[in-house]
Amino acid sequence: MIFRQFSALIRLSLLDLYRRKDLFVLLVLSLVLLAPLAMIQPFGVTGASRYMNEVAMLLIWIFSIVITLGVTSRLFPPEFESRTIYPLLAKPIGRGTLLFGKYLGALTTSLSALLFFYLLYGMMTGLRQGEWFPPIFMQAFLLHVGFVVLLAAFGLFGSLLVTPSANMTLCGIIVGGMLFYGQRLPALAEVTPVPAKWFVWLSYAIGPHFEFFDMRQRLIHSWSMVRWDACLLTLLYACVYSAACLLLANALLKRKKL
Amino acid sequence: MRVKRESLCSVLALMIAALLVMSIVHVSGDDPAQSSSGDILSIFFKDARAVLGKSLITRADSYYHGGVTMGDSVYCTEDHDHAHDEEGEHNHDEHPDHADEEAIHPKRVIDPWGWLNARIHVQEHRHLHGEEIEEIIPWIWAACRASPHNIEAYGMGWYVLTKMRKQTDAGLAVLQEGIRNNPDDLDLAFTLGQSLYTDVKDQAAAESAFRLVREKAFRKSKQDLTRLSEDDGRSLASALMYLTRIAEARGDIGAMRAYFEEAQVVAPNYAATQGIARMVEAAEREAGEREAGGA
Repeated sequence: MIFRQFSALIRLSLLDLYRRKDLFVLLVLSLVLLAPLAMIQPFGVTGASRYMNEVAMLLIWIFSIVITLGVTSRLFPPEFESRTIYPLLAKPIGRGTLLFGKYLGALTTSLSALLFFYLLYGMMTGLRQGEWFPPIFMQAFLLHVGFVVLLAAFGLFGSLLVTPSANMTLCGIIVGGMLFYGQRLPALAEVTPVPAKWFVWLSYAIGPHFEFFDMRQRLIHSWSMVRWDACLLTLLYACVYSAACLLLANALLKRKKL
Repeated sequence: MRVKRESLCSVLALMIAALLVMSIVHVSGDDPAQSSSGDILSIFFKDARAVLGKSLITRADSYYHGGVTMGDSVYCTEDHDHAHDEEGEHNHDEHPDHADEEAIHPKRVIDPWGWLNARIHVQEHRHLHGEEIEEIIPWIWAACRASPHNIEAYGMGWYVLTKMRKQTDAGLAVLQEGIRNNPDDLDLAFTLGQSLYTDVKDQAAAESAFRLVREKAFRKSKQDLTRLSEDDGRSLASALMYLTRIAEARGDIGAMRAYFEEAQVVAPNYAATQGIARMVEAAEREAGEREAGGA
């Protein structure tokens, strides 16, 4: 029974993404950006490929963030606004089931888009460099999946607190901030005066460390794979943090007066 | 009547503005800052283009180090500053690669997030070798396109193509493009001469390139070499050293002495000037011995 409810919610979410043609727009955008880059021959040199890989990977990261946040931010607020939450809860589905089902739907949708982009990336690098889906590519994908798992839960939690646009903006700032400065927060805390210092330390301790999942540098510059213990711990971190976000979101939804 | 008065005021205001601009140019004594290309985009986005050009060069450097921006490592305590040789060239061969993944030395007490970050993100660097070096070329190319006044980008482009990839013609083409976009720059002009001398082995072409450096220096300093900047002085002294070497091969001691005097004016303590001094001294000694032998 519960699995049927989950599968219905997942199907709805998938249909929503592919009906809105977001993926198609992003695909066209990437082609418009990448095609001219692929054709340039800087100073007559034709063998360079890392710059293309870097731009393609950057686009994949940006698109995965946009899609995941776009999907999760719109999970609950439109249901509350149009009051379609009532027939949903009258099915009957418990609020917890609805939340987890919607999360699974958003996650499946985002992961399907991510898989699509990684397949395209894998084919692009395979055709250009003759290296088809090496192990480090699979590991980078695995960690990116962890990133989406965490971001979807974080975005879902935010969607119950603020409006969709505010949620997208705030989550975007946190994701960008953590990707750029997450590693440097302890160093920043050391040079920050006292009241702000504790805030920086707190952000470092409890903030979502999205930078853990970013393997672009290793993938693009052909470094070795991440040790599997570190990789598994990172995925465990994503699961635990996501579970915490979902539990908080569940508590919020249960307290919400409908 | 009122319209006439307003038009008159506007014309007067424009004239005052033009006078102000002219007086500023006159007082400063220098040419007004202008974009050589003169198009409106170049004028408005000049600074933005320069910043972009520099950041693209930083990217090229990071590519050379395996995607690691130097001095950006968070968890590595060892200072991997690069060695630079006497000429200020980036010397990458004086320290070994640090590709050992286990060589991670946390800076502070290990925290779990730091531990994970140090293992996921690369904390050491390595250098591109052989064919791999072409990976940095797109960034240098982009830096040249983004900012045609980025001397460093042209110099780096020449170095990578000529010295690392042994594509002398392509390297010289980059230099010539740089010189076209920066006609007053002495460094690029000197590098062209040096490349013609050492890579192409065309002494006549090299000599005219070095002479051009000298002419540019005189033109830039308005015939007073003491007005040259330190960098320009060094470029001129280096060009004079090559000219001295060429004059030495011809046995033209008079020209050698003249070059030495000029080098002493612009960079008295520079290694190139000292090299010229040694060459002049040796040539005079040899000429003296010859005269004594003849007598």
